[in-house]
Order: sequence, then structure tokens, then C-alpha cells
Amino acid sequence: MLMTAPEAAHALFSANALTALDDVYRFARSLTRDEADAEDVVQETYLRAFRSWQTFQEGTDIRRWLFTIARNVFLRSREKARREVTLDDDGAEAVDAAQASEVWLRRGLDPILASADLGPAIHEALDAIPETFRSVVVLVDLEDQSYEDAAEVLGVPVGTVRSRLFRGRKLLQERLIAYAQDAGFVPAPDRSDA
Amino acid sequence: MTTHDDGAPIKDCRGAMTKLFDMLDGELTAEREREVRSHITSCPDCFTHADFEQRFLAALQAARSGGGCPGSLRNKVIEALRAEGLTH
Repeated sequence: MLMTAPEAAHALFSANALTALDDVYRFARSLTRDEADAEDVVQETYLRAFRSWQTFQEGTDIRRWLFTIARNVFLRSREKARREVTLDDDGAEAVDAAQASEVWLRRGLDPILASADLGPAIHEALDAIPETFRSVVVLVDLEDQSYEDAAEVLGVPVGTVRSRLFRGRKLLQERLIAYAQDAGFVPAPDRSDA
Repeated sequence: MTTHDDGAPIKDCRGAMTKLFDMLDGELTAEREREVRSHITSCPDCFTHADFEQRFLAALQAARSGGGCPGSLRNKVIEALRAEGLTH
């Protein structure tokens, strides 16, 4: 039996949008840093996506479309996050370009990068950095979005994605230095600190 | 692949390091990537730095696993969509 047009649209929605549920959940979790809030964002995202399904352009990236909706849902629910976004690019966070990675190398901490136990520390570090940087790191590094796709999701120019990504990664490296030290990782002597 | 390159030639370590993340993220043209790699492979300091950043990004990507949508949330979403009119 042939499906009606609305039934076909619904089937298409289920086959496409619902398959991205894991990705949308992870993204919402990274935005909210809270299980219950993430669930609210996911539910609202899917309701909005369903209501505006006719605006989705078939053949484009469904995840990018859903991430964009999820971020909008999140920002509307969080005035604080909205303020963070307006503050971001001039840099409340002063991160020296190469400093964090140089500290890693100088102190001989880099072998810990291969540690299988680093995952929870990375997520903890991600939760600790400002949302402005966290979103772009999650989109590019954890969800494999291109700079252009991340720019579309975040509603910012590609150059802003690049600078936030750089700074976000450096902030993570700084956080993970503290983790490596707290975890008792024995570093090589740092002669420059002497 | 996309590029958002200013086109300036890679003349020194600073130039190469400015393009490092673009290269590791696959955002450079093939020609530009060759240029950056050429500098990195001939410069021990840049090589060490690039190697560290590559391992750092690999650690980030490895942290992606886990954290799929809980089954209870999946059911809630589907239930809410059905209440909204989803038929399939």
C-alpha cells in the first residue's frame, strides 16, 4: 500500500533524524554538562526538528541541521550561555599560543596522551572550559564536523571557528596538565622551572 | 576539503605552526599541506610540536566513544514525537 505524502515525510524523518540521536545527545550533553538539561535539549530539539522538517534540505548533513537546532534550544534556555557568546572572541582567556604544548613537552608529560584512562579526564576538562570554546571543540574534534559545518551550526564566521578551536584546544591542554600532575604522573625534570 | 588560507608562503616556523591545526584538521589544499609538511619534516622543533598536537588530537578523538543516548530518553523522544503526530 502506498504511503500518503505526510506518511512518507514522517518515515523520512524517522529514518534520518532519529539515527542521529546518539550524536545529538552527546552534543547536548557537552553543551549543558547536565544529564537532565541534556535530555530537555534533546527532546526540544527533536520536536522542533519534526515541526520544521519541511525546511530540511534533503541531501544536506542531517547532523549539522540537528546540531544547529540543539544549540539554539540550548542558548534560548540559558541566558548565561548567551552572555558568554557575546563576550568570547576578544579573549577573557589569555592563552599563549604554544605555551600549553611546550609545558607538556618540557615536563615530559606527553606519554600520558596514549593512556586509555584519559577519556574521563578529557570530558572533565571539556566541561570546565567556557561553552564558547567547548562547543567548537566538540563539533570538530568529537563529532568530525568541518570548520565550515561548525561555523554554520554556531552561526559564526569560519575564522571565529578557527580561533575558538585553537584556544579551546589550548585550554584543554592546560587543564590536562593539572590532571596529569594530580594523577601522580611522574614528569621529567623541568629545567626551565628551576 | 575546504581552505581558508591567506595564501602567504610558508617561510618559517611561525608560518608553518600557524597552519598546523588547519593541516591536521584536513582544512588545507593538497598543495598547501605539502608546503607545511615539507617545513615540518625539515625542522626538528616544528616536527616535535606537530607530533605532540597530532597525538593530542588523537586522544581527543579517542574520547568520543561512549555517551550514546540512553534508551529511556530515546523512548521519551519517540513518544513525544508521536504525540506531536509522527506516524512512522
